[in-house]
Amino acid sequence: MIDKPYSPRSSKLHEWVTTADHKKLGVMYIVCGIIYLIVAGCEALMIRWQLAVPENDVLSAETYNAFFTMHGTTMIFLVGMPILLGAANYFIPLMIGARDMAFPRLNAFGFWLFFFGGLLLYFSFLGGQGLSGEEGAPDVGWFAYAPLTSTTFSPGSSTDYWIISLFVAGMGSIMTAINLVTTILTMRCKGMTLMKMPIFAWMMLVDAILILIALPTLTAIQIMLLLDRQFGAHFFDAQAGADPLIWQHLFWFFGHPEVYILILPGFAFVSEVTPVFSRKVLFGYPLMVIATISIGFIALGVWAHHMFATGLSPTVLAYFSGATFLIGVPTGMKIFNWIATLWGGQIRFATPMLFAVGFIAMFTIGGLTGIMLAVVPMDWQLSDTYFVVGHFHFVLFGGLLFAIFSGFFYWFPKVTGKMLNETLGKWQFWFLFAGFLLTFGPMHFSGFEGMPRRIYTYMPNRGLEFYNMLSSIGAVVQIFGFGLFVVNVLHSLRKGKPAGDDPWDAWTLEWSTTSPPPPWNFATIPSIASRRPLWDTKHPDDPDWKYE
Amino acid sequence: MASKKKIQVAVPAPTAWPLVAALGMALTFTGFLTTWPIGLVGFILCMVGFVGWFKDCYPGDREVELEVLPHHIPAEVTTSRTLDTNHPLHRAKLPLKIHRAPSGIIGGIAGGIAMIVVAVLGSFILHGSPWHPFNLTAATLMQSMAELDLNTFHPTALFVALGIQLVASVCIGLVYGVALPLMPKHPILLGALIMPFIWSFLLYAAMRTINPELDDTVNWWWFLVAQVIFGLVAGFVVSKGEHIHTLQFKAFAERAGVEKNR
Repeated sequence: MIDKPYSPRSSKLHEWVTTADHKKLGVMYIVCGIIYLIVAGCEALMIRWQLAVPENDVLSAETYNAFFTMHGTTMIFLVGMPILLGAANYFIPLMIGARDMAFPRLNAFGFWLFFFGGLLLYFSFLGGQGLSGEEGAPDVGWFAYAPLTSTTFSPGSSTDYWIISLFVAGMGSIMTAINLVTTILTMRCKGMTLMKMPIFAWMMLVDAILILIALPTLTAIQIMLLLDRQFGAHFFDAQAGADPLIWQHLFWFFGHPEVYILILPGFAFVSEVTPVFSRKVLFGYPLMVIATISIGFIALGVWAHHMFATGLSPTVLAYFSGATFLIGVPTGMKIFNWIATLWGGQIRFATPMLFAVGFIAMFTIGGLTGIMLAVVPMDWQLSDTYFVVGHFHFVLFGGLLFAIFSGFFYWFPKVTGKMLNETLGKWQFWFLFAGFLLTFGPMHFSGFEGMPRRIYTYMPNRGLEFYNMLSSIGAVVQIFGFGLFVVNVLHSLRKGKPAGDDPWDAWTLEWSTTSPPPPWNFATIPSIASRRPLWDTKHPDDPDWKYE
Repeated sequence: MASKKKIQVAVPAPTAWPLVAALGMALTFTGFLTTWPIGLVGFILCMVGFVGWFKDCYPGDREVELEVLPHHIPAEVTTSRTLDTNHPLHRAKLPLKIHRAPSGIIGGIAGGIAMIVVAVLGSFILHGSPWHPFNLTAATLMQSMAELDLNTFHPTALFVALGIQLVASVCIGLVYGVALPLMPKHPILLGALIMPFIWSFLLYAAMRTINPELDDTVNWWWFLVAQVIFGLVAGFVVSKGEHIHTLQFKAFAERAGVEKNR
């Protein structure tokens, strides 16, 4: 059935809310993610303000609990997931030479579920009173351990808002994952075999499969918890004979793969940026693919390393410790491959590359502290301390967020047709880099000194003041970095230099169309012969296909 | 160069039904927490959205047909800093040369022996006995060592310690064999300083937590000196070992050993 072409009279708003175009949906995901990043950043600032000095009373204990819960939940589900899914939405069809996703309307449905799920979570600040008379946002932590989430310990409806909002948003992510898998497997252009796909597409494929396996577990336990809270079921009620540890097992069966669901797209961004700015082909493409698939498999079998302190048997401890060490192998392979890609290259330290290199360094540190935590006696000492907080912020901030900024600076010209300002970008990097190290580095030491996570204040003269003050100063330094980012984006959208179709002299198919790409992506569907189709076009005398 | 003739392209038509269905689903669940009329409105919206969506897809996808002009694919190289494609090593995978595996094993054993000499010397100076480092190394595996004097001779401990030293030295020697050719410059610097320092500081930081009792008995300065000597000797021996070309320019059959080198 053919409709009339787009009407020039339809308003911009109407055009955006009714779109089924993967690019517009991708942009909406990313814009929402950035807005939530600012919100979650403000929550983090309040947390650091409260902890800057001992016995501070900027926030009450209850408000502090709500803030760290909302910060964690927002960063994972409303910042990380949408930005990554948004990037996949935007670039996967362009990279594989398709006109759109396999199911354009399902794609829109997935986005809107995420959108309303996010609104519902933040509506809890206003509507948390609900039927039960208790008020406020969710305050049970982002992993909401049982039995804290039972109505005995968490009366009111704030926990229910947490359950339902993530349930709705999670359904959206599952829809998008189905779409990504189908698109990648069925809509690649002529000549693009699986081993000729951009590495970005490979990583997103594994990522989407992980979402499809892990996220339904969260959805299932959220339904079980809702039944416990609203309809008197006893899935996690210890007083009724249930085992609350079941929640931990099932949550982390989702929660640990979730870390890889978040970081794999980060790997994907860096794996695209590093070769282009080193002017070399990605080192060890087949090994990168194998490492990605291995990570996908192993990530599903390491969940209980979050539970070493719960009294598991020595056999179980040994298995999960070993499996956690094992996952360091494919991850290490990736790090070596990125370094080998850099080595001997004509490196351009443009802003995307700065963030990519920052990612490699910071993620390596975060990975190594993860290996430290895989040592069971070490974990017993450090479990639920600020060491763990420092560790996962090195992975998710120094790792993921730096990768996101790397990808943002790399693809912004393609999406908008405008270049971001390089000087502002570099200042942003250095402010964020310094602020990040200052904030999260000292957390390892305060953790070693025994500071538990999630406490709203601490006593003086316990050796914690200095580290906490450093962390809070670091948070202030980061404000300048994020501020410069916002200024840069707004300024560049209005007055940025025109980007042209291929400003970085890159090699994948998205750079072969206009910036921004038209609604139809490609007038004629391309056909490729190697992993770097644009290299082949630009260097007909020395094409890649002869060597792959 | 693509042709400039206009062509027809169909893309999915805009639709509000997925938005309506998603809003309906969110409101349905919100009904649990607020009032049932909200849930009911949500459910109705959800159903209306799904029906509308269904009608978008059946009997055929609703699409918009656009008349488009083929786009010229950028073919020029826009950056000046690109690799010289005429260079014979333009497609080389670095490193071009590596060490043979035995270089790493020999280097590791040599470094291990040098480390023992330094450790025994340190033990004489600090404890007046050569046996302290052997007993301490053995204690990482033998719980019974906690009850024995670390400065006296224990044959089992000596045997276990030498075994640990041999295995660890060979393994680290092999790592040196792989890692040193990857350093573009000053491989000895990596072997003698960077790796021993990183390793020693990691162990120093972790031991306090993993095994405080063992931590108390280690002289960390002397430990660092022994590690550096290991790295210096192992690094020197490895880097003096034979360099061989990687097989990257050989055919796959040759690399797999199916065909003999020509």
